[in-house]
Amino acid sequence: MLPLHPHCHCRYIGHYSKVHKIVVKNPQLSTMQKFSLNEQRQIVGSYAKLQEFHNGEDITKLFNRVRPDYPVGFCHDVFGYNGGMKKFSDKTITHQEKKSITAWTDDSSSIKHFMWGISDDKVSKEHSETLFGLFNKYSSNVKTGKILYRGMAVPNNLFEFMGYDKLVKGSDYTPDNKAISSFSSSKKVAYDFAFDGEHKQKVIIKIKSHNEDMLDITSVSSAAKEEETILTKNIWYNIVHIRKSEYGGVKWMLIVLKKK
Amino acid sequence: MDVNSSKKEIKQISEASKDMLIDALNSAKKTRKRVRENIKNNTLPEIPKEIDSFLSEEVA
Repeated sequence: MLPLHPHCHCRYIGHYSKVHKIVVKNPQLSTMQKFSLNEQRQIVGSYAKLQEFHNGEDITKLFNRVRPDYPVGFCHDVFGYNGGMKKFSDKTITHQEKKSITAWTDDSSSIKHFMWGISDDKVSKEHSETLFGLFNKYSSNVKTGKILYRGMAVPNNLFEFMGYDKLVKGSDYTPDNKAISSFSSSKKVAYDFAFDGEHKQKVIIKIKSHNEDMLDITSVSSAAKEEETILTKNIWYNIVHIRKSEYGGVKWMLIVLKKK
Repeated sequence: MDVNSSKKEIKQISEASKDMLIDALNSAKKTRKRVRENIKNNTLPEIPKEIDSFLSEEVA
C-alpha cells in the first residue's frame, strides 16, 4: 500500500469479508457491456476495432496492435498467477493440505467413497473438505493447453448405468459430478489404468489443461514420478469427438472434451 | 403398482447402484495401487500401435 500522506506512516488497509468466487463466462464482453457504445469505441480506439472485438477478437490483442511497444497482459500471464491469491505449490500449502493430498494419492483414506456419499468416515470427510478447499484457496499452477488423459476400466453394468453408451458428439459431460477426478499427462499411465479387468469397457478421456479448477499435484504427490492433475467436481465439458473401437475383442472408447 | 411398492422398487434400484459404485470404487483403488507400482518400477505396459494411434486423435 502506498503512504496516504508524504512524511507520514499512515496506510490504507483493505478490509475484506469472505470472498465469494464469481464465475463470469465472458468477462471481457460483460465488462464492455457496462459502457455506452461511444465509450466502448473510445476504449478500443475505433468502431472498426469495436466490430472486431464483437466478432470475438481478444481485447488485449486489439490493444497490443495499437501500442506494440507497451503491450498489456493478464496478471496471471505476467506473474504466473493472480497477485491477490497464493499460487498452489508445495511451499505454500499447509501441513493438513499436504496430508490430505497424500491420503488422496496413496488411497489410505476412502475420500472418494465419502465424496460419493457412500461413506461417513470422519477422516475422509476432513480430507474431502480440505481437498475441495484447495481449489478456492489457491490459484491454479496448471499451464494451459497441455494434453491430459484419464483412463478407466468401466464394468459393463456401470457403463450402461452411467450412460456412457448414450454419449454422442456435442453432448455435455462431466468427469465427475460429485468427486475430484485425476488426470495424467502420460498417455501410458492412462492406458495402464484402462488396461485393468477383463469384463470392462476401456474409456480414455482426453482434454487440454486449463488454469481454472485444476491443480497439478505432482510435486506434492506421495506417488513418486506420477504426473497427476486433479480437477474439482462438476466441471462441464462438451464432447467434441467420440470414437468407439474394438481391439482383440476388447472395447475401447475415446472421448475428447472441450471446456464449456 | 401402489406408492409403497413403487418406493420399495426405487430403493432397491438405488441400493443396487450403490453396490455397483462401491465395487467400482474399490476396484479403482486396486488399479491405482497397481499402476503406481508400475510407474515407480518403470514397468508401465507399452501401448499397442493400433491403440496408440486411436488415442492420438487430435484434441480440440
